[in-house]
Amino acid sequence: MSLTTKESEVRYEKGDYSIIGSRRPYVDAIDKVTGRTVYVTDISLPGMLHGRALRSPHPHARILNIDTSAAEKLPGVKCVLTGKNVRQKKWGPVTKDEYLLAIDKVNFVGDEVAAVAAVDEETCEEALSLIKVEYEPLPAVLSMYDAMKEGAPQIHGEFPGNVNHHFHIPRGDIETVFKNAYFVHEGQYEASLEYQAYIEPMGGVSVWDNRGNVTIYAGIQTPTWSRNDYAVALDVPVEKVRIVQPPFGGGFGAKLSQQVHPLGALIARHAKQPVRFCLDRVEDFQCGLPRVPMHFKLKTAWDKDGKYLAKKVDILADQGAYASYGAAITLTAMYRIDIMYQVPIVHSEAHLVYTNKVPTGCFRGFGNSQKHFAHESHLDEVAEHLGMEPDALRLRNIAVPGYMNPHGWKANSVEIEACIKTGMARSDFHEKRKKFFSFNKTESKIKKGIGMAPCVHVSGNRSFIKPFEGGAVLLRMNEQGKVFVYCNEPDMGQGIRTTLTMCVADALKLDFDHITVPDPDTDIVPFGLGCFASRGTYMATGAMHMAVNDMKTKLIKIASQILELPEEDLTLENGAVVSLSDPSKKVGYPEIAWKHVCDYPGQHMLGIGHFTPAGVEYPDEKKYNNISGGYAFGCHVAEVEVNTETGQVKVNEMWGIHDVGQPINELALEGQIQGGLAQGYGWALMEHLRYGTDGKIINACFLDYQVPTAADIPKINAELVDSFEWTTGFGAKSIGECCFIGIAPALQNAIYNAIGVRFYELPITAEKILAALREKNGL
Amino acid sequence: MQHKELRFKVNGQEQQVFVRTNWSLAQVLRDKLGLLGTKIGCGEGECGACTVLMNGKSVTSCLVMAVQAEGAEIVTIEGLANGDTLHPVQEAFVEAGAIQCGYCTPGMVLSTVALLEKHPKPTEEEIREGLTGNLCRCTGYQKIFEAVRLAAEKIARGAGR
Amino acid sequence: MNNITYHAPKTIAEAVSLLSEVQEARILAGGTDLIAKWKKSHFFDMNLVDIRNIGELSVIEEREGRLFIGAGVTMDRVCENPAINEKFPILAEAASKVGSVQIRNLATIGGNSCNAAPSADTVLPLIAYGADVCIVSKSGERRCALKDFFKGPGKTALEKGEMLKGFSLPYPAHGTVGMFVKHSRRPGMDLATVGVATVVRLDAGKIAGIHVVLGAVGPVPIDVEGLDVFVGKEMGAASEKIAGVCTDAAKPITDVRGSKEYRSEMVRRSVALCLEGSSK
Repeated sequence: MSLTTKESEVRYEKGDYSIIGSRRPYVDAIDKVTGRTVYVTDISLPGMLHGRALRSPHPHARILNIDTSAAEKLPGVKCVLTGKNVRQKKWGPVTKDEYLLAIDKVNFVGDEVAAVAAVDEETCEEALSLIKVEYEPLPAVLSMYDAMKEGAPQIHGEFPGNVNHHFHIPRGDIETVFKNAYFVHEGQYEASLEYQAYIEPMGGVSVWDNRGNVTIYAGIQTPTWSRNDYAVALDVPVEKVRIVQPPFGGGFGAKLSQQVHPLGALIARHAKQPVRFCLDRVEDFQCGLPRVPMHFKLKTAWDKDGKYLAKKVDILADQGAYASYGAAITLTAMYRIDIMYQVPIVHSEAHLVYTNKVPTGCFRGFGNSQKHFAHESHLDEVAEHLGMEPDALRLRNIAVPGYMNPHGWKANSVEIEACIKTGMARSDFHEKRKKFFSFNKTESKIKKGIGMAPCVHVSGNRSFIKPFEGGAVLLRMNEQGKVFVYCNEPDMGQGIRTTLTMCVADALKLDFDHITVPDPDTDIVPFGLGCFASRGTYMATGAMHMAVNDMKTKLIKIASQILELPEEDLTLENGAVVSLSDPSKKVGYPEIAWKHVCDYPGQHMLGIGHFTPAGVEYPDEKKYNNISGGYAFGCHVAEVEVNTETGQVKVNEMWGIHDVGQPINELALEGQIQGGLAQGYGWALMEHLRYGTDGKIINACFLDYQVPTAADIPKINAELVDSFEWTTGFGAKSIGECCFIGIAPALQNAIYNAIGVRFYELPITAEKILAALREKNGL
Repeated sequence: MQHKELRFKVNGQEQQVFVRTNWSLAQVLRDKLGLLGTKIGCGEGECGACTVLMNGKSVTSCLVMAVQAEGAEIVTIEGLANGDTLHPVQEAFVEAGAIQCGYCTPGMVLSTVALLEKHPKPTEEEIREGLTGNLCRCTGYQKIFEAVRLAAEKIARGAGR
Repeated sequence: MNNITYHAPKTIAEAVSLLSEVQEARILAGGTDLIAKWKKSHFFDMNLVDIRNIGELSVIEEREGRLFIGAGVTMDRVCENPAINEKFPILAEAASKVGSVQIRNLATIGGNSCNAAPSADTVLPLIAYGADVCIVSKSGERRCALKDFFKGPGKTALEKGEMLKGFSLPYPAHGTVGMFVKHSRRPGMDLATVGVATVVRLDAGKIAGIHVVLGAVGPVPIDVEGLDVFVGKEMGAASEKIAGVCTDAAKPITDVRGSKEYRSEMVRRSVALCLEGSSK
């Protein structure tokens, strides 16, 4: 039986917060600013060796022979591993299609062929240079458009036609609507391969004990969940795998289950010593898990007043050489946006294909970003056809609180209207459109434009592990009255450590100094899924609400015994339990905590909290049922100037207006929004991991894979609208992904507004703009 | 493999270490002196995470061979605070919320220190230009810009005292 | 791999003597190109001759009525030097566009030439200002025009045992205007997609002298020839034609930074922009 309250009974109210909703620097900021924080790549264990992998130089080749003898003889080398001399199993978070070390075939440039452990990185490098691999190159699939063609090289025998997944989700009679609609619009859009570009590359440090238990200190967003995957890869029972998650330098989705951690553990197992296995930047470019590129065919139907009648989408998605999370990402691209607009009839179909390129995976938005680029470009086209303002078309169709979409998803708090209207007002959108329209008729080589796009994302997507849903928090008060917070939604820089600290401080009226959120350790923290799908704030604070109440009850109960006052007369104040009737009567937490430890000898006081989002059900075979307890909304606006002589775009200003329910830490929320928009700016205008005809990445460095620098990013205005998500105790929704999603289409729409040319693939570079302008002007 | 004795000053302290001629300054700071605040993000001078001050100038320590630091004065992130008192730039980064994952932070802070030494009252453009060598993927730079302005104020106030 | 021998001579004499003795010696100046290349190319063995301690190489001073800039002068000093800013402003400007602050604190003006990257920023104004290079070896010193120094991507006129000592620049005649455009993908920390330096002297609106140098659009920097025919012409009327000649002189290729078509177009436009700026 579920412990969860039934959906109809759940309706949390906004509390009287003192700390929640304020602006707080991160609790770990001083350690970070003084260089004291120990990141994954800083970890050194006694007796630690270094690991490196030899990677395939071919996109597709048979391994004929590997000669490791010279490498093995090199002084300082502890072991040399190949696919032939280790025990391993195919693994993968969704499809088990990848070995840690290739056995007879490599499938992309960067695929791991051999690995070494040695006393230092230089010796590793030299050992790798001594390994001789004989390959028989095979024809390669280097474009997703070629993957399903007849006669295309086959990458995985189990997946004929290179199709890993085919999805089809029809809801309603769409052809009739298309036949009768006032206006039907079609368009095709392509979202490119974007690299997460966290500043600390992927890595981990692994150590085994004599009982066959491995501990991996890993830069990972999903410690507990990924244990399952890593256990499969290493062919050991899951209870043998412990993951500790130290601070790490950014994830953005890439650092979920990944090859580098179990491969490092495999090397350590054979080396019989701890091993640090971290990628260098070139490797990270080659074999990180960048965004899944997608091609969209969109067809939509409208009535003459701009009512959205039906949507059909056909997606081709490129998951590269191995599946990673491609299937879930593709599903998200198919239908997640359907919770933002009230569209009664929606059809989606998708093919997820293998190619001989880098495996692609999760990246902020999880397919939904790709879809927003296509869809929100498309909607601007529709608005123009119908003679409507872009915001008016959206406002005509947006979801409202309580809206249930055709997939059975239910939106609770929905402040999308406020987001759009605030965005329009703050950016002076309509006035600028008029002004720019006149300005652009002048001879000036500079053209100006402003564009917008609303956005939606889940806030705490349901689990992939039936029947588990939700999240947990465990509070422990030690005998000095200090509170430790154990939770499985890790901090990766987004500030969840501070968020949790603020919730405890607010609810228990305790100083930050007395609250610690240790690094998650799977041997200690409650089970949970981790930080992805914008789960952190929604899940963790949901569970936290119950945990602090549990601890509060216990504090008051013991204080009532000490003070000999009824529990109803007691409240929490400034690290103590205080009498309401006589505030001079109080007892501090240290005293209460010590009494607890004495009454229950040695036992620390615990606050136990768990949270299941209301109304969330595992999807049925038709992918029906609500996927998320909360949905976060936003509206992004961008103002641009395009130089028609060079094609260069100068973005003057950007706005990100969001509905995150109850804000917990406004400072962190602004930081997330600004960071999300800046990253989206990169995707829209600059970033593209490009392949040469030889199947190698041609821009695997920060000079050529360009992410925005301080000189690129204009002023970004972040604002939150009034909202409260009543399905969770503190009313908070997550921001992590939603703040990335709208800006690429907003920029696209702004550029269109400036020059009257639309771009159907990302990124929109100066060169593409100039070429398009010349074509438009018949040059 | 050639070795060499390296004498230099790090965070005000004389150091004498035996280094390989193929080591970068970043490697020596991290692996020999345990100054792990100097981060390595790309190893090729393109991200700025390894920025330190060398004879008062900001440099990417992954592109400096350790042997080239002979006789130099190096300041790393560990050398900025005065005991428990943060440097005004550090203080400003904390207060402005300019730190998220924090991996770029040491380099960004040191670049800011160098920037403010050159331009005590930096313009918007000088701030942007002064920090182009330090990539940050979390913050969108906005709160870093705020931190630079705040630090400039703090330093100006301190100097006026 | 990964074997490095390291020498740090204190004088030019010591340096050239090492260069003649040491097998395949490589000169280490700022290191921003060399060390990055070394790391990207699997840590090849190197015999390094570090010239940063040679005081003579880091001077900026007047010699024989010309300005001498030592090969070891770092970019940040080029940006800030008063003499350079006054007499050769686009050299300071070009230096300020190299890499990032950190890179400019390390990288040297000599290294920018010796690395012989087609996109090198400071090379363009140096050629446009008519700089000579001073080359030293054990057997003495020789000079050649910088425009003849480049033999291909990564290849220079330096022979074995030779090193670059510095640049000698003639002071521009009164009324000379220099302009520099670096067209790159992003505003900071980037290599040029197209670089243009122009040095123009006008006399009552008419062209009295013109020099245009193009970067990143050929295997070596291109010192555009055949512009003498425009001497005596009105700048306003001639600028489009000059831009056309320059565009024809460019031999761009397509790479990760841009296509040859785009580059070609940016040459035309950047030259036009420079010329327009020159007559203001």
